[in-house]
Amino acid sequence: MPRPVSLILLVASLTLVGIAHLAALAPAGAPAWAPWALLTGSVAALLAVALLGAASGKGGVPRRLLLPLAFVFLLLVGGVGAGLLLPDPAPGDPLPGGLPLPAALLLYGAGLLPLLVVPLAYAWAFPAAGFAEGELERVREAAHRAAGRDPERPFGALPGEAEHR
Amino acid sequence: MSTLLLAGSPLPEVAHPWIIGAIALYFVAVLGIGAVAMRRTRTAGDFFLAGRNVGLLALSLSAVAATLSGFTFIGGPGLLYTVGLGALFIILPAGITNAVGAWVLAKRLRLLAEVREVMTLPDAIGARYRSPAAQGLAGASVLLAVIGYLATQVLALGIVLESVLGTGLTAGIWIGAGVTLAYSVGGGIRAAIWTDVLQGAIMAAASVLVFVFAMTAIEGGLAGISTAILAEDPGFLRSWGHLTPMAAISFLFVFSMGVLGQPHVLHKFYMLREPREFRWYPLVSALALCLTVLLFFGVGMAVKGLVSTGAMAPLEHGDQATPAFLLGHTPLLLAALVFSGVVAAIMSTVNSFMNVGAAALIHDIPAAFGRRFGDELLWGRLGTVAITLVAALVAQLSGTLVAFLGIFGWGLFASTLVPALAVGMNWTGATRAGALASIGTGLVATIGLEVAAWAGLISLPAGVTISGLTLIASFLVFFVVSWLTRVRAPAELDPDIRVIVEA
Repeated sequence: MPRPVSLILLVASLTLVGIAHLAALAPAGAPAWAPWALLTGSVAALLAVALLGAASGKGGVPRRLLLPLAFVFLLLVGGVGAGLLLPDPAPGDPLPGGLPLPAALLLYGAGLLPLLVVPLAYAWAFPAAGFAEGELERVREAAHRAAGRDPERPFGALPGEAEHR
Repeated sequence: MSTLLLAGSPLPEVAHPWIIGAIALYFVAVLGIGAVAMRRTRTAGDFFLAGRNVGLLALSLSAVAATLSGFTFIGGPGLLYTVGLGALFIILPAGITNAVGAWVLAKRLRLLAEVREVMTLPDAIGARYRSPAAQGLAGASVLLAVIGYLATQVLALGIVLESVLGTGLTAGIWIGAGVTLAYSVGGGIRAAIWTDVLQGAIMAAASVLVFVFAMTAIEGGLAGISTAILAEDPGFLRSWGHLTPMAAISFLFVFSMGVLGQPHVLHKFYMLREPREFRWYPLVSALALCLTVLLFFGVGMAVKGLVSTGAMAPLEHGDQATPAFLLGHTPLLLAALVFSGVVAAIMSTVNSFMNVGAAALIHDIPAAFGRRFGDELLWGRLGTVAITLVAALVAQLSGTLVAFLGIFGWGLFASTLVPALAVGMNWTGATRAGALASIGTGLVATIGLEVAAWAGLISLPAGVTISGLTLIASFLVFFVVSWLTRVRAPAELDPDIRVIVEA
């Protein structure tokens, strides 16, 4: 996925969040669709920023990230949205995982599962979306050459550092 | 996250020799760490960036400790007890935002530190847009926000120390600020990171142990607690508890996007010794965070369950949930550990803010005027003292205003830094005018709306937060102005910075 797609997704998501906020300002209160707009917009904005950051070079976002992030989108929207769709809890309800179903979906589905999936996806895609072998040195040299500086110039020294090296 | 805690409410008196001893031992430990760190702090790079020589575990624990504050141990369980499961929306995105922050900023900031002399987030904004004005404006925003946020934290520290040491509030504020200042002014961010590791370990250990006691407070564990609550107050266990869906989901938006502008966490990305270790940073941070917030959930649920069964009297104020549970349902030694954990949680946030604020004061704002202090180490130390004194005075003198300052500080970080930094470091089309307009919008809108709300001139419905509104406004202004001035974008991006943005 190229970067411009992430940017368009980010702008669209933020616009949706803005519309939901404006709808909530109406004198009659927030309409029924506003929580859905706020939810999908918020989750999509977060993932759009993640995609923007994960884009690397001209290759865009690594393909291996798309499925885990789509899964996380479904977990978050589904886990939170269950509270909008399912009836309120009542005494005698079954308690999967010790909680009423909507709360269990929220805590375990939208809370705990993404907490594992996203960091593992980050680690899995790290060579493409993070630092590949030798990338630090390669980028440092390229940046110095682009700026017309000595590519062998060491780590940018801060005031007072030089005399202690 | 910390802005919701302890808005001037008293805690019960819990002074006991074991608890006082644990706090005293903790103070001795952090002062000792500060003394060692001071001996290894010889340059401004050491003071503000720990010599860019921090390992993965220390970086992760430090980021988590700085992110969490006393809110996690006192305000959070209290909020959960009061409003129900809706309180969880504050921490719901926390495990994901570590990874998102790493994708968006860790790589670019760490690369930037290789090619430019950067040590603050406003430095990165200045370099990205080749604009001292943007750096200065961002620095001024950071400084304002730090003082507001720091004052809230120092007041929280004073309230906790008043409760556990019986010192009175004023003495609690100055003892807490004094001890934190003592190790921070000497050892700078190195002392902050080393103490954060200790503080993070205390917080995680205390949280796990208390969670075990909380889940066994009522027969049947979590299911037993839920059954007791459902019989008395089923609305508590709705996904949003007693909040509205809009209010709960707005927490999700504000706290997920807003963390991408928290300088006390993000500027640690400059410091990792071996960048390839970033691979495991989100996982280590998420696991540490998960352990540390167990107390938030466990105590909030257990106390509500105990009150529902009549085993505990209803609380006058939610902030009493953790002290009441600890004193009534855990061994005294564990209570002592947790109160040390509360102090540690607040101090770990305070020391990071001291460092970030000092850098804004003596480095970023002068840069806007083309000035630079000759000895930034000395001036950094003086700046740390000055900021702490101002924040402690504000905490002592401002009364209820301090809660407003905390909310204002958090919102200001988000609205002024997120678009220009998080998007700008990843998009070559962002322009200087877009960044200046976005930071300016965040600054003016946050100050204007927060002051108007505090003065009672405006009132927003549930689900609409000023932080959310200003963040959206800042984002949209950033995109619109950058698009309108897009022809300037290529000329405003230095060649070495372009390499980093496109890397």
